[in-house]
Amino acid sequence: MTRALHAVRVDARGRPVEAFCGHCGRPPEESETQPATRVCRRCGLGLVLQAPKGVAPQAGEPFLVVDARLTVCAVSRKAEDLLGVPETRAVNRHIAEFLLPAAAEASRPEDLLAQLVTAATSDEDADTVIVRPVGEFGVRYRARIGPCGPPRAALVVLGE
Amino acid sequence: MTTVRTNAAAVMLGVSPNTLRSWERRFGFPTPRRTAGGHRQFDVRELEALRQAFEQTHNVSSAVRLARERGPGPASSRRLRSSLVRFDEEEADRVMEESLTVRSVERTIEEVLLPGVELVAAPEGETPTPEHCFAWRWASAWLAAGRRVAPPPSRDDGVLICDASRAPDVEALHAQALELVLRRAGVQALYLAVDFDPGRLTGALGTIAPRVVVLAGRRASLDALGRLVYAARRAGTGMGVFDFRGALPESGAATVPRLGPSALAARDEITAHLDGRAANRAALSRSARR
Repeated sequence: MTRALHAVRVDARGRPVEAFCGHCGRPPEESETQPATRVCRRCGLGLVLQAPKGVAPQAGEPFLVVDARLTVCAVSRKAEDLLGVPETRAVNRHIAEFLLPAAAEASRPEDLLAQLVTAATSDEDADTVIVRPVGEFGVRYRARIGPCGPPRAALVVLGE
Repeated sequence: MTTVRTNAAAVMLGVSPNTLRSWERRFGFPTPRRTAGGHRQFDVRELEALRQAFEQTHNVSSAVRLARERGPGPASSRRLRSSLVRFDEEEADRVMEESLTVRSVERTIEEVLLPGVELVAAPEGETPTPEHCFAWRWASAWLAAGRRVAPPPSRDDGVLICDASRAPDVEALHAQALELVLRRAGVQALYLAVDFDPGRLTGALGTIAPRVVVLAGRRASLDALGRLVYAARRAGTGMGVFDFRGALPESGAATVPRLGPSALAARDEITAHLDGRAANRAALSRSARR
């Protein structure tokens, strides 16, 4: 039996990272040749991003990418369906136009925003918060927030 | 304009020709021209702008927006604006350096730096945005760095710029730009804020002995400007007093001539005034010797 060594990509803190497409969320296609750009070869609409294992979206999980200025930089195909907004209209708008903390008495909107800024600017571990779409009540998502990039940004993965 | 066909454009961007055509349908960018035979011809500058944007964004949609915003081609005020609104100091410096490879310092200031900041600036009278304040500080620091490396004065004539604007007024940057282009032309230029004690102006004028006083900024009261003009004219006979970019309100009866609206146009008028005075002085000394 032969054993092969595989390079494991790690972030600045030594945590293993996973690559995924910023639009379809799937891992990049393995290619023998070095890609000229980061464009996803599967969907052609996202760029390949990296996030620590455990934060990176798993198959079919909806997610958004938000930069340190709190503007939306990417919306996955699933998140487009979930939030009812196409990516082309969501990009470059403030995240507070789409998501708010679900329990208003427990968490103020600025706490969510502060968490996003922290994730976009530091290497802290992922955090989980309950959020809801703006203008809708009774719909809640468990949002996993952590760093991603390049360039540095916050990843918001929405789950049940 | 250099153009390439679909396959070559796809190779440049590292995608398949089908992906490139799907971007054209979805985003309308990059926008190819068509040859007589109906083949797509992509502008290489647009492709390069998009390729660069891929490195700075998270998906194709935002890269397309960024490439559109910056526009194709070399360093431009729109590209500078794009970096300033993202608080990206490093990128803003890079845009300036790129511009300096194809333009002079003066043209870079006039065609890239000042228009770039003006695109970010809040309209006059409105509260400045954080992007505006950041752009102002960055531009002011860049102009200050330019002044530090300006050559030493090669002429005896001095110019005093009295600026009534305040940070982060764009007018203050225009006044600082005028000081820089004057210094680069070998003129001894000094920039002072107007809100100092008017009583000390006479002392400053006596020390600097400027041949020209330029009034800049739009925040000074008519009373303050009147005192300034009076002090300047009393300090020396024939001292030129000029208005730069509307420091004095348009009344139709102003005795202070207006300079051109750009720093370069103003510099040319000021140096022409100084040269005229120098020629007059030479003629006077020649006639005195005779």
